[in-house]
Amino acid sequence: MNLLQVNIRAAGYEKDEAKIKDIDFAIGRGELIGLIGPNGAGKSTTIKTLLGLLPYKDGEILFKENATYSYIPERPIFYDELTLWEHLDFVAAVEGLDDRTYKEKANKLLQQYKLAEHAHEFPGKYSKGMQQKAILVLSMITDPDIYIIDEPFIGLDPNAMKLFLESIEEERKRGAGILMSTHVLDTAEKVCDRFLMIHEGQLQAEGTLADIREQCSLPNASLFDCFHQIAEGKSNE
Amino acid sequence: MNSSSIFLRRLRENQRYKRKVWRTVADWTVVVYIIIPAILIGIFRFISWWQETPSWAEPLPLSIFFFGLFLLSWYGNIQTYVEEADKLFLVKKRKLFLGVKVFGYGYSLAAEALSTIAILIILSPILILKFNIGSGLIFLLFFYLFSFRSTILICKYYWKRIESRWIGMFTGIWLFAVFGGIHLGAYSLFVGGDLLNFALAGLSFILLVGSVIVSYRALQRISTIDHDIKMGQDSKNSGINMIFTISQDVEKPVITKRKRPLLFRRSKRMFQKRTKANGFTELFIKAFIRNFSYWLSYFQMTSVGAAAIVVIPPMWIKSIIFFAYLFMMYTWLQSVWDKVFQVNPITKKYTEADDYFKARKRTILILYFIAILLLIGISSVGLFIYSSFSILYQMQ
Repeated sequence: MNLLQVNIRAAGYEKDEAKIKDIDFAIGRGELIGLIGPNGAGKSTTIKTLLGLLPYKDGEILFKENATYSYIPERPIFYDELTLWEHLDFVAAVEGLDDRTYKEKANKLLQQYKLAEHAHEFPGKYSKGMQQKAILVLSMITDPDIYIIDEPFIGLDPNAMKLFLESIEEERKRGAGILMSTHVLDTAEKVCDRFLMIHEGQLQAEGTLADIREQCSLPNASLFDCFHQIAEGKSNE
Repeated sequence: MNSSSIFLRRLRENQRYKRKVWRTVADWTVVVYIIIPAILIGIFRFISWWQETPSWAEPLPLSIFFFGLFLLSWYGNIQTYVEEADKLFLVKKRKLFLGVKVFGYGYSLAAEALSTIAILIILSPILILKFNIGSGLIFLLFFYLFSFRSTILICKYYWKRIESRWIGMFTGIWLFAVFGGIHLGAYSLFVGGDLLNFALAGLSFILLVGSVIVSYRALQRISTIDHDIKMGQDSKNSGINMIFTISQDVEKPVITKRKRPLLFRRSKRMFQKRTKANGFTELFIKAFIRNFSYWLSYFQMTSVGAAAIVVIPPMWIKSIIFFAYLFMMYTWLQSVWDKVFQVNPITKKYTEADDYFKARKRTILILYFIAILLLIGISSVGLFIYSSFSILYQMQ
């Protein structure tokens, strides 16, 4: 069974003004799905719909029973008043994680992401890249079944980007399903299993790179070319 | 384009922004049911003061009013109306840029003068009827207060540029003590008869001329642009932090400059027993005590409530204030809790859990009882001091 089954008929801030329509897809175990599309296409709205953050939704979002998820927003949001360790401590407490196991994992992740020395500082005062790494650590601490990631590469230096890609690869191997919205198409082309290409609030193409090429009638084209064809082609019609 | 037109445009935009923020809470119901009745009651009260000195003011000596004026003098900052984008454009036109700052300073001084006049008008029935102070002396008091406040303005301008937290704090205490000394001296001159009144006028003149010269020189610098922008932002947000706290829809401002917490250093846990409910409680209490605007509002509400209970005489009004406080404090604590957990996606997904509601009820009740104890404690001390004043007054 899929970890997440999505059938959005329409969603938005008001019933009469749907921002996205007819978006159907599923995420299976160990799958990494790229959610791509131009600015304002509806990627963030799709993610907000999955998270239940939109006032109007017509459709079904079905998580597998007892499946847990972690959301990594485009702009990391922290409590100004809590240290990074206190954020981790809170998540561990409310998720009911075993104290010793959680501490071991937290320390390992903080070491990996070079945040150990800053664990007792307010993450709101970190640099942009450090904040991005901190939110990744925070999301990984619970070993979620699903990751919903919005633009993860913004603010990451090349080392952190490599580390992030290695981390999500490990999570996939563990069996986690990942939905990742991104504009970094050359990286997405290398790491994603499948793609969801959204334009003007609707799913325009989906599947593997080969499927996308076929749907765009562009054999041997890159993901970038297919993206361009869909985004510009549709706009020019 | 000249400095005055840029300044006026920015002033209008600033006022528009403040009006917009106020409108987020002051909708027509608040205006009709709270603001208009409050203004009308205030006007009737003010008229009644001209007929009879209010009973709360009877036992209070002039020195207490002078002390109140001292505290009020610290309100306000030099506003330069410098904006972030000036770093790119306006800063290249030095004369134009500095002109905007000077106009801003002039406006700040005018605002200080107007607020001083407003305070003295409000106090005039008490000053004239109770203390028999004539119009000449009231004008002298205005002149002194205006000069005193303009001196505080420039000292605050330099004080706020201090980066180091500890040096800043000690400088603040030192400034408060020095200005306290000046004000005490001014009080002696004010009540000391005609000759000393002349001395007070001379002191006021020196303060005013000195502060204007120093301020003008301080404003002739481009290198303070970051500080000017920050002070402009602080001023823009002044008075609306309470709205941020009350309103669920408005994002709260950044609250600390520290990199590490002062309390619970190295992320020390409050509860050794790690339950879900304790997790929620710990997060809330840490967020609450480390957020200046939260605990400031907590103590402000309590101290204002206590002051009202002490000063307003009829017992039935004291009881109404007490019950209104109980209601307001509980509602406010609930709204702060909801804001802490509902706004952030890290916690929002846990807000349907049973332990969340258990922790909410428990934590709010604890903070609520502490607030009630504080109110009773402060009111008792206040009533004791106030009644001591009354006895002394009656003995005279």
